[in-house]
Amino acid sequence: QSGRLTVDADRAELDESKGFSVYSGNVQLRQQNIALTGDRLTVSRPDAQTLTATMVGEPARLTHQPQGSDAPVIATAGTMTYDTRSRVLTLEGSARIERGADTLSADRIEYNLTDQRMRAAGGESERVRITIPAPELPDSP
Amino acid sequence: MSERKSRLRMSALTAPGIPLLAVAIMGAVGISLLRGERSTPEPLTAPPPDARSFLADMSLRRFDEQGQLVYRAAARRATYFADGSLALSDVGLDYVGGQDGVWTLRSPSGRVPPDQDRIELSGSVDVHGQDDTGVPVDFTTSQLLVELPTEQLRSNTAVDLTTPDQRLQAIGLVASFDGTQVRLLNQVRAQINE
Repeated sequence: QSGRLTVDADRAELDESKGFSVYSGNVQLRQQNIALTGDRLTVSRPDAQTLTATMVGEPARLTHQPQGSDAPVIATAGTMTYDTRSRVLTLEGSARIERGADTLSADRIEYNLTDQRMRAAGGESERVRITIPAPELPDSP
Repeated sequence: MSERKSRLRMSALTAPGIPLLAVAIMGAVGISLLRGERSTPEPLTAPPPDARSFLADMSLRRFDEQGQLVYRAAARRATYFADGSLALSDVGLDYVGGQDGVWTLRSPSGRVPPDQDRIELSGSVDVHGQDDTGVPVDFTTSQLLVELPTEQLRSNTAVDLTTPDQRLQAIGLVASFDGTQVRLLNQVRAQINE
């Protein structure tokens, strides 16, 4: 487990009986080296060990500063679902991840926050696209 | 009354073999009991202005027109005023909203206004409750309205709320009497344990 989540928002509604809380308005979720922002966050507990946080925004946005890496990973999508047990963030709806100059965009991307591996899936609206800029060649003599 | 006292003294004096001192004490006790004297009553504190009646260690249950319990209240002191309002100190409140009410409230002071449709609690208000599946939800605030018509608890001040796996701080809260709805209104900060 990677520790406590901190959520800031304008409003919150608790529904402990159904096991979830909904935060809305300028929502920011922080946990160690990740920060999610968006308009509406639903935190639910499918079971005692798992906590799921689903952020919706226009777009929802992730900033992840991997340990030992200078370049932060920036991601945007319509919906982001974070599973605190697997530490996998699922991006859906115009999903896009940038790391330095590299970008990956698709309908759906799974991003593992522990090892930074990504898995992308295209859909009707968008195919998977990876952009890795070519290194600059020295000027020909 | 004085003739009876002298007869008592005469009979005490003539009792054979009782030392004179004991007789005197018995006589003195006899006289004071006959006169009905007791230790001087405690001084009455001046009532607040417009106070009409005052209760100490009060327990109150309020019912609606159908005879259903609306709430149960206890207070160390309750003062009724000319305008029909009621001031309470050291207040305990439960069964708010009847048998299904899940909240137990404690507060240093409270007030029931003349129209009686709400209870205003102030000071450090402690609220303990649970939702409809028994998950405990507790919170503290400095002012809380118990609104009977809407069957809601309502605060507009800072709230500190805890459940088994999270702590939330906010400004303002609305909670239904049956605990199915708890909303935090502004500036929410949640600390959620994984």
